[in-house]
Amino acid sequence: MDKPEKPLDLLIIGAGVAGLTAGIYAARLKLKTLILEDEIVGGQIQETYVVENYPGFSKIKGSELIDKMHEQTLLAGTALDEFDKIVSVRLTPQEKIIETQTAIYRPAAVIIAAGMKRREVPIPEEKKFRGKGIHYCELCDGHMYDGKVIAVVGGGNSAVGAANFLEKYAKKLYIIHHSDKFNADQIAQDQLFSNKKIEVLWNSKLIHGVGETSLSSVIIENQLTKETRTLEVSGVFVQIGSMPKTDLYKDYIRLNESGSIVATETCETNIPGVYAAGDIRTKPIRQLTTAAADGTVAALLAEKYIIGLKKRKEVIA
Amino acid sequence: MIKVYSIPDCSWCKKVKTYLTSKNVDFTDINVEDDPEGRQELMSLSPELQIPLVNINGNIVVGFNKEKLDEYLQL
Repeated sequence: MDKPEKPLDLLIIGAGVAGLTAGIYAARLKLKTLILEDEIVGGQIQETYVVENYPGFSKIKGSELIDKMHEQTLLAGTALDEFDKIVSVRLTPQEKIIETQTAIYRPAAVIIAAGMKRREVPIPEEKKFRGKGIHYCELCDGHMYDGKVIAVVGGGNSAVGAANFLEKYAKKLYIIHHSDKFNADQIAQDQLFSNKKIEVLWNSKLIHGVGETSLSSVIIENQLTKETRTLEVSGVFVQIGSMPKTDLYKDYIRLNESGSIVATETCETNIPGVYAAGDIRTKPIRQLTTAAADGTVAALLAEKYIIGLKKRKEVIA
Repeated sequence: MIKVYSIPDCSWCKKVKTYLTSKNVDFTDINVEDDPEGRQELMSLSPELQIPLVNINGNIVVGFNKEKLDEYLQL
């Protein structure tokens, strides 16, 4: 069966903070807009235990903040489809075609706000133990390890936050970090260092997972001495950063060496009418607040582009 | 009988439940954080210590897998 073709003013790819903000602005600009999200509405922030740096909220769960933004976007009038998946894109100055599993969209403008995906732990046994000892969502799976010895891999805000969240379940918790210092907020580090259940294994790298059907231990390597050691843990939570979700666009949109879409504060890409907003674009600071700013800028400039496009079509007609 | 094993803060659990609701599928939601029996039941159903887990008359779907859900629910 042929897929239905659906015209739109604006298609927003991704329903994180940047995408939802763009959706709110687009609705207020009376643009016929659809947001597509094939993973989680809210993206990474949905799984953030607590947010303390978003103006207006001194302390709020990430999921609550996103629920409010989601509701606001829908109330404003932008549609959101979280169950369809993009299978191909064609993005040129002349036409924008986004094909999903169920439809073909031909928007006048596109905002790519697809965000980042988590990096998988680079060990040979990752697939064998995924879900059976290796996890990426402490909020979802942490409760399975009540009274157990577990580990967190990583050293940024997400890793330290995960350890602070998981300690309530763990009998003992290790943090395995390749460096000799964390790259996390000092408040979160202070909380972690004050907890006697948590032991930090500095300069250490996870190199193997061991177990029959589920994980029973891991092997770590000291990066300075190259000595290896076995840790008896039944669960490992991985928080080693993320990378931009740009594979779909690389044939059309200019990317940098890290895979981020090359765009400035105007969010404009190398293709007129295609904007990149939020963590997916080149930028020095990736925060909720900067993602919201990008969503705002991208929607307002997309409207100007769409108006210009309609005027040019009228002149030609 | 369709059972969803979940916890309130799990975003993929919310997505599964939103999807089932959007398709007018009735299900029983078991919060395995507060329900020790439910947690034991969950652990007996799959070697994967992961939620959400959906039990559709004996067919198990771990995570949000739209194709599998559609297949087992005949949507």
